[in-house]
This record gives sequence, structure tokens and C-alpha cells, in this order.
Amino acid sequence: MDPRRIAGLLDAPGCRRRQVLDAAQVDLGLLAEAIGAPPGGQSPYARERDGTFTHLATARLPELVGRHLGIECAAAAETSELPVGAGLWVWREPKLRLGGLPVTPEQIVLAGDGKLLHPVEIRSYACLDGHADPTKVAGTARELAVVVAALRQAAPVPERVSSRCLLVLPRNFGLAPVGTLLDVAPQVRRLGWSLAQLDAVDLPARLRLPQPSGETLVSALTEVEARFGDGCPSCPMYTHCRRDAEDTGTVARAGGAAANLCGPVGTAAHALALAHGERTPNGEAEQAISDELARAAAAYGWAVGGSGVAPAGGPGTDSAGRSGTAGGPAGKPGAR
Amino acid sequence: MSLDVYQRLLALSQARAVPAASRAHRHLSPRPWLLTGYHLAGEPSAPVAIRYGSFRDSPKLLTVAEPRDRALRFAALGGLARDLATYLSRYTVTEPVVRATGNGRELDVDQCCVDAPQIVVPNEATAHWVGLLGQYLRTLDDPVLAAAGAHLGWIASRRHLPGSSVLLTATDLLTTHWRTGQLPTEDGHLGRLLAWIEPPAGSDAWQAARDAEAMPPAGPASDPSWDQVVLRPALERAKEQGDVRRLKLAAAEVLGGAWRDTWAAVDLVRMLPPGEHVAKRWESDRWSWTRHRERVLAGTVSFSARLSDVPAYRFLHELETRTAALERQMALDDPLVMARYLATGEAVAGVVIKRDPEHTVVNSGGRSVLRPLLWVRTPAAFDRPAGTELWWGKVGMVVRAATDDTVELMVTSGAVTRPKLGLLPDADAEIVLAPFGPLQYFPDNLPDELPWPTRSSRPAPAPEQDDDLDTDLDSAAPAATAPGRVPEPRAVPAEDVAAPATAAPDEPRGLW
Repeated sequence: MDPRRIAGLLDAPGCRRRQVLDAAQVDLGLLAEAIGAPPGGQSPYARERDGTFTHLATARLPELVGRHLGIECAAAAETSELPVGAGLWVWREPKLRLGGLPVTPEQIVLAGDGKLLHPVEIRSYACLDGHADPTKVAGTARELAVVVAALRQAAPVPERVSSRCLLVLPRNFGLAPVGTLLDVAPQVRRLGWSLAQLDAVDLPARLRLPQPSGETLVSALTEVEARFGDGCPSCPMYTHCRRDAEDTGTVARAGGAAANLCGPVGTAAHALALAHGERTPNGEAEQAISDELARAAAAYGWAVGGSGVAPAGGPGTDSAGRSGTAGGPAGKPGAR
Repeated sequence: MSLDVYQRLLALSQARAVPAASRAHRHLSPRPWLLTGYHLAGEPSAPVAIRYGSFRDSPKLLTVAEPRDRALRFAALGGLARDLATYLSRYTVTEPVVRATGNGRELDVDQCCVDAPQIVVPNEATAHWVGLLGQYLRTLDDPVLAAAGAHLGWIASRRHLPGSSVLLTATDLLTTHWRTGQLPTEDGHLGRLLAWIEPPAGSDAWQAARDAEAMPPAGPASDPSWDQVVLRPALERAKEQGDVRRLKLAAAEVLGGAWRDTWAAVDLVRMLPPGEHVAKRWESDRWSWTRHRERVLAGTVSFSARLSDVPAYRFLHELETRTAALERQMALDDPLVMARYLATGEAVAGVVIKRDPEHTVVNSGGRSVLRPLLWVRTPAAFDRPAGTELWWGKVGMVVRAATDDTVELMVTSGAVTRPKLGLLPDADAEIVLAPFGPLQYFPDNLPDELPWPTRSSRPAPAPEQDDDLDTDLDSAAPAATAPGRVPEPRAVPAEDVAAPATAAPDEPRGLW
């Protein structure tokens, strides 16, 4: 699995379905076909640009590594194992493991200063006037964290793999490479937690088959509980879980804020019944949720002028808000 | 915000968006300039197709047969730059305005443009792209393109100011005025949003939203498979045979949806009556446009990538002032927005059950002053502590005590003299007490020492020596400068940066 997929675990914390999906190393192509997900992929133009920039940047790496990491080195040498000493190496298609999962990046570039090894990552999104898109940098940092953690697992002395990485991006609108240091230690720690969760997952029996069919896959995954949330759009199961959430009317379909407020109240119908006083809250938690939502319902009712719970017999929407509210025109506001 | 959650749940259960505002909180120009487009994947400076203009039935379509060829790109962007200049030239009429200068004691007559331009784009990503395009154009030596870059830079800089309506995104327009029952990140998709607000007859929002997702994206990133299947053959045909018809057809078709959707969003918000403070906020945009034009005419437009020190401090100050002002104005304009504060308990609605206009207290000077008392019956307990300040119009009061259904308030301003006692609410009047006073005033005096976030922590970076390797095809670039080389961005000394975003000197004091 590539580092991006493992890093994706951090997007959906606490979703068991997602954990099972990765722990079982499900084939994503097969899965997408089975659930009818829209085809993803990369634009040919983006691929070309990636290739061109990677080529250009690789040639300039010794200079950038010297400037930012203080390592004097010649052009990158090929390696097929974790290198030792000082220099610059390219390790193509390394077979690494992270916990029980295989990690297979296309290549890892490593710069060593004799004591520490620093991963070097080349990406083709632009760094404009010293700023790169923060979402993309955050994504890269998570993927680098996977690489760092996997290298540490492979290294005889894990501390020798540094979490300070060199990120190489094209400067402004051209293709001149520019480097920045990125410390991914926080991401590595978060990943450790996610992986610990992953280890605790026991796979459904049907997912342990060597070559399950698409349908088996989906039905086996559906048995596992999912937690729908804001991070879901990047998950391979997104379209499937979304439909599920729509059919059941889950509160979480409306986002994390709604799910957090409603807590143990799972469905929108239930939450609205509490809000409208059509259902007696059961227990303290439901009582608190019911109070909060009832207040919102009353305020909403007041504002749209319908079943105004707030001031009885709510006045017409327009004038209620304006003259009844503060900020009305001078004179004698609100006199009726 | 619990009201936000409640509205989302309502929308979810009805499978239809619910209104989140009953007033239009953005200024909508009678003749906005819409822009939708695609750039080559990963290269914001290489537009493939842009659809733009002020007329919904006759948009202009710009296509670049080889987006990586500088000459073709500049020719196409030159067309865009000239059309933008034509549009902007409509907004040069000024009117004299009397405004206070100095410490507010003297009056002066200043010229302000009677109207300002407005750009509407489908989504946040396109708005960001507008800024990038401006940044790119400013690096070029061509005067027409650089001028367009300056204008786009000003337009993009207004996007970050709360309450500004110079650069509107259709998704922001809709999410300000409606709530859907989908994930907030899904609200960034214009087609999905529209499906929630006005699902086509015979289908619910879920289905309509899924259908909308299957349509071509609103840009500026195109669908990867469209790139592969449609764009690549069309570009190759245009390049090899000089036949751009296929490219134009493909571009018009794929951008047509975003174009219609953006207009639909504008139409939906136009149906709402404008909020009372919207014109006032637009006035601040008009002043900024006037100042920007003056800088363009004087040739002193400049932009800085990063603010630090005093400009940063002033910019932060302005953001805070504007955020507070926008929240206050929207709540006062619109009961549906005020309802958010009722839901959180910051505001309180109720009926005046008792008044004591003759109540007096002894102030610190030993004099007896009039401080009328009010008792308001509320539907729910008011849970803020005693001493909380609330306002009813210009009448300010503090909470003295609250029980399960009554709040006791003491009037402290606005109606504390006998002639003004008539301004108090009558008994039995229904009132809403808001946490918003007449106008918050934040003095922007510089502190002795700037707070750390605005201090420049590192020395100015030394200019990098390496040349920019351009993505353009070298062969096709008999460019003005050395082949394959983008000229350095014009460096601006940090001292005299009139930062684009620091609009503080643009606008008269106290406009907010």
C-alpha cells in the first residue's frame, strides 16, 4: 500500500470500517468497481508536470540538500537497503513494513549526514512567494510521517531516521526547485496512535479470503460499523457509506458539528422529535441535547414567524426582527 | 452554534435546504462580471479555457490551444485583460463626499466612485485562482497584462475582508443564506448546493445532489478523465491542424454548467430583500476601489506577499473590527441571524411585564441618577450572569438578576434622562435584547510593542539566485525576455508597501 493510503487513516479517526479496509489490505480498484464509485485518477497533464519537475529537481538535489541540511554530497546514488553514513541516495521501490502493513512507496530519497538520515520529498505543487497550499503540505506531511515510521521500523537504530524532512517544491510559476524543512514528528506520533487502533481490529472472516469478489468485499465491509464524518470524502468507501447514512437518516450525515451536538442521539428524526418536544428525553444526556435543540427550535420558530415559541403569537417576520430587535430606527421602537 | 445544527437536521429530514437568512447580506451589483474556467492540471498560470462576462446569454469564451506556449497564453490573456479593463472603465464616475479628516473635527470634500466593480466566481478555488492569475500577470512586462494583474490583485485582496462584496463566490453566497443537510465540505460543490436549494421537480435533494456531482466540475481544476478523453485530443487537433473549433465546443460545453449555476446562485440571492447595512458595507468597497484607481493612475500599486510589523498589525486589527461589525450588522438586519444568538442564549426575547422608570441609584460622585428598571418575561431561563450588557436599539441595559422565566434589567444608557424616558419599551411590548450595542469602536492606536504574531521573526530572505525554469515550450517562446525565463517579480521595498490587504487608509474612519 502506498503511504498516501496509510496516511488516509488519519482522516477518519475512529471509523472501524476504514480500519478494517486497510488492515485487510483490500484492493481499492476492485472495491470502487463493486460500489460504483466515480473513477478517480490523475490528469495526464498533472502526470507530465510531475515527471518533468521530479527530473529537474533530482538533478538539483545536492545543492538543495547542501543548503538546507548542510550535507555536502554528490548526485544521488542508487541503493537497495537502508544506507549508512553521509551522502544522498535514491531507494527505488523499497519493501517496507509499518506494523503489520506493507508500505511500498515508488521511491524514497534519503540524505545522510553521518549520524541521521533525512527523507527528501519532491512534490510539484507550487510554492508561491514562500507559501505553499497548506492543505497540500499537510497531506504531504502525513505521507512523510508514514515513510519515517516505516523507515524507523526497518532501521537497526530507529532514532537514526530523522523526522526532519526536506520538501522540494517548484518556486512560483516556474519549475525552479526550492527546498524547505518540514518536521513531521507530530504526524508520526498521531500515526502511532492510529496504528495501535488498527492492530486491535479483528478482521471479519470473509475478508481473510485470498481473492474475495467485489460483492463479498462490500457485504463484509458493511457488517463492520462505520463512523460517518467530515473526513469521509477522501475515503474509498465514501459513496457507499454516504448512501447508508442517507437511508438511515443518521445525524452524522449533516457533518461533525451535528454529530457532536447530538451525541448518543443517532438519527435526525429522533433529534428533531426531542427538539420539538414530541418525545420525552431518556436520561440526562438526552435531556441536555433536547434542551439545546429545543432552544434552537424556538429561536428558529420565532425568526420565521411560524409557531413562535418565544414571544407568543409571533409578530410578522419582517417587522419582528427589525423593530422589535435592537437597531431599529430612532423614534419609539417597538411600540405596538 | 446549535441553530446551525438544528437547521442542518431540519434540512436533512426534509431533504431540502432551509433558509439561514431572510435578507441578502451581500451587495449584488446590477451588472456583475462572472468568471469560470479551467487551468491545466497543476499549473494555475496556464489557463485552458475561461468563460467570462456580464451578460448571461452571451459570455465570452477564451481558449488556449497550447496552454504551455507563452505567446498563445499571453494573446489569450491579453483579450481577457482588455475585456476586464472595459468592464472596469464603467466604474470611473465619482461623486463628491463630505467626510471628516484629522481627528474628526474638520470636514473635507473627497471624491468617491459612485459604484464599484463586482466579480462573481463559482467557488472558493476559482476565487483563489483569480488571485494567482493576478499574481502571475504582475510578473509580466506587458503593460496591459500587468495592469490587469494589478486589478485582479486588488479584487482578490478584498476576498479576505469580512463584509466585502467585490469578489463573491457562488458557494459562499448560498451557504450564507441557506443550510443544507450534507457535510459542510460537500457545500463547497456549487452543483450540490443548488440541488439542495432547488431540487428539480420529481427528485429529492439526495438524488439531485448525486446527479449534480456527475456533471463536469466547476473548476478551476478539470476532471482528470475529461483531460484524457476530451481535452487532450482537442488540444492536439488545435496544435497540429490549427483547428480550434473542437476545443471551443468542448470548453463551452464543459464550462456551461458552472456558468449557469453561478448565475442561478446570484438570482436566488437577488430574490431576498437586501439587509439594511449592506449598502454601508458596499460603501467601504467603493472607497477602496476609488483608492485603488488612484494608485493605478499614479503608478504606485504594489503588493506584498507577506505582511509584517505595522501593516500586519493594522490588517489584523481591521479583520477583527470587520468581523465584529459584520456579525453585529447581520444580526440587526435579519431575524434569522439574530435567532442564532437567541439559540445560544446571548440574546433574549420576551415580553416586558413591569417597568420602573423612576428608579434611581447613587453614582460614584454621590449624585442620584435615573436608572430605570425593566422586568422581562422570557420563555426559557436566561443563564448569563448578572452584569451582562444587553441592548434594545440604542437603549443599553445590564442584567441585575434572572429567574427561570424573568430577567430584571437596569437601563444604563440611551434612556436615562427624563426627556428620553419615552424611548423605553412599553409594558406588554415584545422585545428582543441583543448583545450588540450601537457601534463597537476599536481604537487602532499602535501599542508600544507589537504583539508577537505580527513581528517579523526572520530577516528578509536573500533573493534566490537561481533562474526560474519555465514550463513553457522553449521553441515556441520568442518571448520578450530571455527564452524560457520568467522575469523576476518586481521587487518592492518592504517599507513603502501599501499592502493590498491593508485597506485601512482606504476608508474613512468610523465607517464601520
